[in-house]
Amino acid sequence: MSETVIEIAARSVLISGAATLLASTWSLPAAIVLAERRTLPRIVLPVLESMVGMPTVLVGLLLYLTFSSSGPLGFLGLLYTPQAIIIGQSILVTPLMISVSYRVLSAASRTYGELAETLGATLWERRVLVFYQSAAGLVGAVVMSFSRAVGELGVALMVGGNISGYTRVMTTAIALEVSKGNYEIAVSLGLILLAISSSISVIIRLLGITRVENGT
Amino acid sequence: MRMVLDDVWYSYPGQRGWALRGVSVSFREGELVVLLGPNGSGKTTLLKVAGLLLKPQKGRVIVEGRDYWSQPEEARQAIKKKVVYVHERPIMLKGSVERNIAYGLFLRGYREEEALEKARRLLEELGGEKLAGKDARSLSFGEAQLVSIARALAVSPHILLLDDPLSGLDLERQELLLGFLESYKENGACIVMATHDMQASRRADKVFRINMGKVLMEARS
Repeated sequence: MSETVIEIAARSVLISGAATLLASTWSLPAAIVLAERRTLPRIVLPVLESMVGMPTVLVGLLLYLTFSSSGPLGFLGLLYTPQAIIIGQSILVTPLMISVSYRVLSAASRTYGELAETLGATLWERRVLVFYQSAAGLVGAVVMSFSRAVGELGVALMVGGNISGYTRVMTTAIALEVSKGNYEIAVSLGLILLAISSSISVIIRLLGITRVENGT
Repeated sequence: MRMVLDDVWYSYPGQRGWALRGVSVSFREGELVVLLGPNGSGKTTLLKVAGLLLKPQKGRVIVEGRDYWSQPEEARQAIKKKVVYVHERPIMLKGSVERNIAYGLFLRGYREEEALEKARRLLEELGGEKLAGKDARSLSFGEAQLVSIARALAVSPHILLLDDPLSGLDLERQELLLGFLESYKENGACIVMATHDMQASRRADKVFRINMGKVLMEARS
């Protein structure tokens, strides 16, 4: 496997990992707040879930318009940088991370939260217990979000620009190599992407996310 | 400790109709109270309202002469530590049986060794010494039920609310538990139990029959 392929794969993991971590700083607290509410307006969850499948090119386009020199945040000079991809992917995975974490936490809040409450826990002690008991499910939500980020093309292409050695990630590189007829490199990258996605599925299964979601 | 539910109405958010309709009952120290009624009659809701977990939309929950829900948060927290509700389906936390029983003690600032020792003693008194050291999530339904009752008893509640506590236990364990609860009651606690078990209701000081969210009858022995 060539050095270039490894370099591209490493960059993809770093950028998508950073995007996932960034998204978790607001998505997990948001999920906690939503899960603690005994009643949630009926519209919230369907809207959130419909945004999970948000087209990546649409997010890419909106961010392109925002970060381009004539856009409102053009002065930041972020267009065609890894930071722009990180921001874009973090926005892209936010609905997924909130909706999965919300499901995990709301089930845990009904069971473990009520248990903590009846044994005299304060609000923070209750939160700690719910969070600790849901850890496997929450890690699953984060891992799923990473999987979505690393496999997307639209944001990386539109705000990253696919610059060699700088913003080129696996998905943009595959698209480019196919257009050039370099199928060998494209297939190598595709296999790496597949390996990452498969290992993520295995991790989720090992974490037993389904069991946690049922609150048992 | 004395608790009065005065004309309590409760409806679950997002659901039509009342789960409790004008319920008035009272519990006092040294009493074993049994709630009888078919599934869906409102027994669990009544226990959760008495357990200070659900705030009724109408009516008052009076604890020690004061309306619980109109008191400041700090005062409510102090009262809440004396009232414990045990779920019908036992909830086991990650970790060993002893750590599960000791959870409420940790919340009360007990040192680890002290809390675990108390948990082991309690488990022995309830005839569950064989469960010590086991992973709590590997227990059978009946074993988990025993552990969840031990967890509640560990914090010495003044009012203990048990939601169908006998359903998963064999006859020998049921007898042991009822005997233990009777002696716990004689030390001044109040035990309120929702059950289908007629044998348990025979031991009760008060029996409430509930149906469709209403208390139909109060019997005293």
